Amino acid sequence: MRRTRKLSRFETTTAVDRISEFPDSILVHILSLLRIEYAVRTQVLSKRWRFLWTFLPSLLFCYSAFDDDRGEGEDFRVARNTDFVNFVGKTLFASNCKLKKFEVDICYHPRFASNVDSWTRFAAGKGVEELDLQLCPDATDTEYEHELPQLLYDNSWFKELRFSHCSVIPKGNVAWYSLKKLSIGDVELSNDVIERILAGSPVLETLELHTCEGFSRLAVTNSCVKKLILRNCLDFLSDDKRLEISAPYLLSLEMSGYLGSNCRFTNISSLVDAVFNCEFRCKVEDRANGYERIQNIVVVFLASLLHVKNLTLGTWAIQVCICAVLSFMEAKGLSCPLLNCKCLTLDTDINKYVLPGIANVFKSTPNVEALIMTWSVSSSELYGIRSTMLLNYNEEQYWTSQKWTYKCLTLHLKNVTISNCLTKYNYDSNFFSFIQFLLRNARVLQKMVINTPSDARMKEYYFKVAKKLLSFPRSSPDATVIFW
Amino acid sequence: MASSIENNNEKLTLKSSDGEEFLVEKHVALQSTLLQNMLDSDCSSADVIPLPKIDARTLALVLGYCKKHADASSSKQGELNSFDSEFLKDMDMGALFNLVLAANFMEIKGLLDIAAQKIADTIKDKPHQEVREIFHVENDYTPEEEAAVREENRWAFEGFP
Repeated sequence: MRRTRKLSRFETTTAVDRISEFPDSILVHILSLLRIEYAVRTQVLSKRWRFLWTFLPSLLFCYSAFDDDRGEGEDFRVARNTDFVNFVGKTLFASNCKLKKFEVDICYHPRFASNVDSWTRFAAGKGVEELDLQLCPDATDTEYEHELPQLLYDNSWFKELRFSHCSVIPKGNVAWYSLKKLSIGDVELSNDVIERILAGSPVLETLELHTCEGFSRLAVTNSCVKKLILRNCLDFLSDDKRLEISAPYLLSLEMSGYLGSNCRFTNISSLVDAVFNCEFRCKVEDRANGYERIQNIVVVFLASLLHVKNLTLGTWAIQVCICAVLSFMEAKGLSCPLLNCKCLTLDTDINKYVLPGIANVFKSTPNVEALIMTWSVSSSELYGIRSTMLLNYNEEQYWTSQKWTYKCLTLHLKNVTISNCLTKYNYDSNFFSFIQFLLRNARVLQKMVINTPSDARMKEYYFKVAKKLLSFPRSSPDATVIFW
Repeated sequence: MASSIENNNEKLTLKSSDGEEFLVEKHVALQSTLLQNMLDSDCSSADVIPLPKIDARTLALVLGYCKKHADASSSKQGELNSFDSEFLKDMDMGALFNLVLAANFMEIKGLLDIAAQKIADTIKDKPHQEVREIFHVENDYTPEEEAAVREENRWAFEGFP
């Protein structure tokens, strides 16, 4: 076997060094597909390869801290970390071309401050367009923060910037006139800094803030900013802290991570897409009050999304709707806000703990034409929901016992997509009852598409699922069920 | 609109380095930026376009790739991905090199990307002696020079012989 393979290679190539005859552009392209260590390592192949790596337009350095000790103790770890920092500097400073992207993810320590400064200066001098600094401190108990050099705030080459674990304090004005994407994480930001950044980024399109604190106002009045992503930015536990967001031109909003405090939208009138996939945060001893508070926040939040066309709700948000509708709001005489969304995405498992929530979401979304079911890892459960009395029902009969007529099902729902999660639902009876309910009640349904990622091992399973789903009665004469 | 549909049915002839002619539908040829530019600048499709650096075997492969990608709708991305990974599977280095050069010359970005990726995957995780053997790279460093180069970027060679 081995012999034949060797022979055929010999026939077509003979022992000529063809790869070294490739033009530089192809070889650099190949090197750009390797991790930086491998790319630099090719310099020992031959003199032809000696400097090729210095023409890489993108330099991405990522330090993996997990095995940095290797059981050899603190000194070894520090030495290894220092070696890596030196490697970043040497490789970067050897660069022979205009840099497009410089990305570095290191275990930061104040002794590297001057290194990081010189890298960012060098990269900025090379006209770098994408700069990514992930400076997570190397000890969890101490707060080391790298202060971004002032010269970075005045740069018209930058198109994308990502910072984490640094202090962002521009002393003068910010001038990022080409910046399209900005992502800031684990940074203390003041209202003033955010204002200055937004004022200095006239063509900014996407703003992402994660685990940022210290600000209470986000006034995104730039007409180019179309997308706002907030992750872990409302992780406070007090009622008096709140975030006020005004973004009249915003088209897309994503909120995820821990949610513990209120968020008020004064103007998000252009919003088309909203993703609400958060996790509940409250003090353990204060869980009962905490739930009530969080329901309040969710109701206020949903009330500002009435006009949104495409809405995505995570498990947690759906579960809050259980409590919100069944206990809190009924007791207070409130009704769940009626949402106008046309396309509803439910990012959740289908189990006993979400069924009433899904039913309540259907009640609140009478105009839905398209329903998408996904189930991503970020979709987490409302902590403690399993113990609530509200869930004392038989899930087998949940959908058949529903007396409510869902307006969205009788009048509007045309498309259902089960996206990439069929294997996760794992031939579960709750999944089938739900689909059965949809097919029986969606009177104008045209298409139910079930995504089946191509996987030979799953064929038999898909066949079994398909057979079962196709046996369910459909109330819409036009409904087709498609496995894709 | 009508004329663009007509154009889609047009064919053109490509001639390989070893003289073989290939009749290609225009929308398939447009996968190549080189051919696209030639067609945009008054190059008549009635002419035979010579590709003096690409042999018939390679050109047949390239056109197979272009046809698949031109015909597939964008919604079939998953299918295209599995086609791509099957396309280069078990291909010997010589054929792969010819493909890289052809894709580079004809400016077919997708094909160049997957072929370059395949070469990169061959390089990574391997000690350089093995890489030299696979690609027949002739080492023209003296042992002293080689040691000096390695020492210069010690980190990159950590844990490597």
